[in-house]
Amino acid sequence: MDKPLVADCSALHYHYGSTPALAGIDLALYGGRVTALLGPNGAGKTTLIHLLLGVLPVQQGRIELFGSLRPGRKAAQQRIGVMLQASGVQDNLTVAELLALFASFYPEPDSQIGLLDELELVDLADRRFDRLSGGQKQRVLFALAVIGRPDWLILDEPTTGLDPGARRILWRAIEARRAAGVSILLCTHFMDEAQKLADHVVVLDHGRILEQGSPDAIRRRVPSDRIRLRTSLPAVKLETLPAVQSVRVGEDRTEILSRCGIETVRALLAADDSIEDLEVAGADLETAFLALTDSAQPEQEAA
Amino acid sequence: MKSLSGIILVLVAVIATLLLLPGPIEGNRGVTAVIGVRLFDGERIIQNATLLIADGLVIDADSELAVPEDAEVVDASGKTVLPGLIDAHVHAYGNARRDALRMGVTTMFDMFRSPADQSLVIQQRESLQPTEQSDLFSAGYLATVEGGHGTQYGLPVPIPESPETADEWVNQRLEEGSDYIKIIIEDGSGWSQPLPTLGREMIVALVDAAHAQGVLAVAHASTQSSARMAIEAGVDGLVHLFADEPVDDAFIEQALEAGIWIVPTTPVLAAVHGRPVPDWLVGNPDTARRISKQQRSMLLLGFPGSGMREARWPIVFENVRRLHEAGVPLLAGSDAGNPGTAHGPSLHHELALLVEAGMTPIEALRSATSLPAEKFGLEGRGCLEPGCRADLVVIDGNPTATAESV
Amino acid sequence: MNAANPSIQLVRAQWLNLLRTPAYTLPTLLFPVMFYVFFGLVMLRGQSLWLLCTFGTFGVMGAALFSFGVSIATERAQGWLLLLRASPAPVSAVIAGKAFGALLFAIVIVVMMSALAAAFGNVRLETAQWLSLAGILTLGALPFCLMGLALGLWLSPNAAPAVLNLVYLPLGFLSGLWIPSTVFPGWLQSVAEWLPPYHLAALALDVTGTKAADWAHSLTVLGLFGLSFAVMTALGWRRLSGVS
Repeated sequence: MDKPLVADCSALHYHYGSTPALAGIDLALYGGRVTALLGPNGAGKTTLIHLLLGVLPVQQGRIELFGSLRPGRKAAQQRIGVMLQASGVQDNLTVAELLALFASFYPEPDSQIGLLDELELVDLADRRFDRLSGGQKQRVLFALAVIGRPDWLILDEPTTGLDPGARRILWRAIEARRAAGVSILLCTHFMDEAQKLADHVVVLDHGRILEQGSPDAIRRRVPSDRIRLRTSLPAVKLETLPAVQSVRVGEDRTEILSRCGIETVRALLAADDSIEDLEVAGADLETAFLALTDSAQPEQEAA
Repeated sequence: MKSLSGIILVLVAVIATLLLLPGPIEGNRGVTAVIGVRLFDGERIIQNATLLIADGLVIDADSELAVPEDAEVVDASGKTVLPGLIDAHVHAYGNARRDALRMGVTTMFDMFRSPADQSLVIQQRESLQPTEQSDLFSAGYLATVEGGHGTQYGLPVPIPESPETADEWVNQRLEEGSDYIKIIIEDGSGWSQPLPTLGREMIVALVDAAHAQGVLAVAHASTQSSARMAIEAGVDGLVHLFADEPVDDAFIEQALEAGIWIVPTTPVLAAVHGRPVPDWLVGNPDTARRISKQQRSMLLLGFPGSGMREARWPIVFENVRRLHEAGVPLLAGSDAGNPGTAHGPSLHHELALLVEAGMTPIEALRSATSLPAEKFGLEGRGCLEPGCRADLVVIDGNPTATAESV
Repeated sequence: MNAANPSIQLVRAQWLNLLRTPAYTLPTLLFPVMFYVFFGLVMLRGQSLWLLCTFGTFGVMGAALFSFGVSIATERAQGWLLLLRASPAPVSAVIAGKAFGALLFAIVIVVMMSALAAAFGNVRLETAQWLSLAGILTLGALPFCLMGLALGLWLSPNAAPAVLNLVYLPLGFLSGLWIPSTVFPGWLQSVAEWLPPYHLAALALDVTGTKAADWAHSLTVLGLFGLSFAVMTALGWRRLSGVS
């Protein structure tokens, strides 16, 4: 890939007091593609984003944006659009007032009417931010992120807590930006979101990069289903079953994390006819990462 | 942009309000001419006089003065204009300064009060702006001994320790803003109530320290013998008249030689000798509306046990008459703040008693205007000559009891 | 009118904020004015002009401290400040918006007090004096803006209002803004002379012809005071972490 680098981090460390948040990140983010940043809470995703934006000072290591710019420089900030997880706005302003305010920060802002239309906010233009629903607020924050026509869009969990309709509107808008060649850094909890949108996935845990690669490659390493059951089979035997990622024997029931639930259950039923209380559920990312990180860091405490 | 026009609107409103706020009263900048008055300028009466004032000061006062064209003219024909009166002995607390001003007393000499607000008092008396309070000069804390006269009022008093530290004591008073030093010489012998009092050596040291700093030293003395001691110590004046015995020739000679003055304070002496205040003071409808309820009850209050001393009252009259005839300067003072007195009316009481004892009305007025101003070194007070403060008292007819301040 | 200028837009946002939060705006405007009415117009009638100068100082100081201190602390908590910092909005424009709010408060408070003083306290001044009084007090709010800004950046959002009150009221009293410091005991007077509000009031008393001031001295004290809080503001800004 000959795409230019939008961000180049090397040997990045960060500490909050004595608590380490990032412990040596080397990461190159290339232009024109969507990178998904995955990781459990506390993995260091938000710290990394804040360092890239320049709202946190670099303590150790180096970050270069768009070739040679330091984070926080106005020239860099004008090319970045951002939607932060913990961000609020002056919430007594209306949607239109917020857009006009943010438009004034950029040299060549996008059309405010066009954005309202694209994000289905036209009817809400004169409504105050504090009187919007959660999904409407997320769409407004997205509009603020893209009003400056950024080259690079940083989205921290943009669809968390949204209903499917609102999520679809946002996905459509994100895809439109990708199609237009905007580089995107997407933090998410949703594997399906990463799979649908990302070209490249980076898995972060304990301030380190655990994995990176294409979504399919990562997907294969990350369990998608959690199976609970009572069985007479020993753990060693269970681990050899197809698609099994990890096995944990509890007091009551045994828990198996699997990359493909159906395949594993089929094999289970064939191997043991005394199975009871079988329950299959989609593994959330938290659980999945526990499985991933269990092997990497044995001292990791099970939740 | 609707909101930007809102901002501009507020700013315009703010500036417009500022521009519309009222300027100084016209008469204050221009000249006011009071015409057709009988004027007492502090020394003498000028018939049919014109008084020109501007910016709180007297420009000129005389008969047959030309009135400037742009002057605001006040025709006060038939009225008498006096300088604001000076009460040379008060204790100002509570509403004292407001009460006094309603009766035309524009300046008061306090003879013992807390100096806590002295800086404000000084700053107020330097202002020429209209005010509702009379101006005040003050001794601040007085000099007495532990348990002596002056300590019984509940106000803590710093006690001068020894003659060697008299300088230090006086300097502390001056730092607090005292205008003069008051020394108590009171052994209680005049009131059959023995009291500890300052010794001669200490009194001399205090007087010397005050004079070294260029301020007056004044003394409270209630007997002829203590008054003589005060004069020997070098005080500038006595803030009471003694009434324990008739004044003798030796005292008069000594007083004249030393050039001292005396504040008779007859209203308080009347009270301690069991004399009720005259009816005109509280009963006259014109004065009654200028006296508050508290003032009225204060005037009607007596000193406990004062009835027994009534027999000595004629001595007061006799002493005033003899001292005045001999030429000892008497400054009108009421000692208001005590039972049987009130700020304002009691100075008029004093003037009436001084006239009754033999002063002419003009002499009595001088004792409440030019004389105290001269003895206390005050410029521009107690007079209505060019350059004096335009503190005016306008009264109808005969200047004794009724007064109307402007 | 260039409406696309970030400073103008942030000023406008601040203006709309004031209009839309009357529960904050009205008390902030009326509290010092009410104080002045009680003390300067009802209780101490003879001192209306003196107290106009001192309560005016008290009012603009409060407007500056609270518009900056509390709102910066609140916006930190909301994440609004974080979003602005991540955006290319110039820091100067963010501060300009706030300063506008504080100075607008200041001038409105001074003008309301002046109008009341003229109407009910019989205070009369030359037009130039009325303008100078409003000008001095409004500009004099700036060092207190910096103080509010510094405190808003250093204090936690919950602590900010309480701490600001804890600073504001004693500072006003000790500087002789409620009762003239001339009636203080000597040692307290010398404390007052070290406090910046005392010097702002001194300038106000001077331009109204009430009491002469030592301009060089008072301006130096106010300047040094502003400067030290400017330094604290710069340090506080750098100290802001991603979570704030």
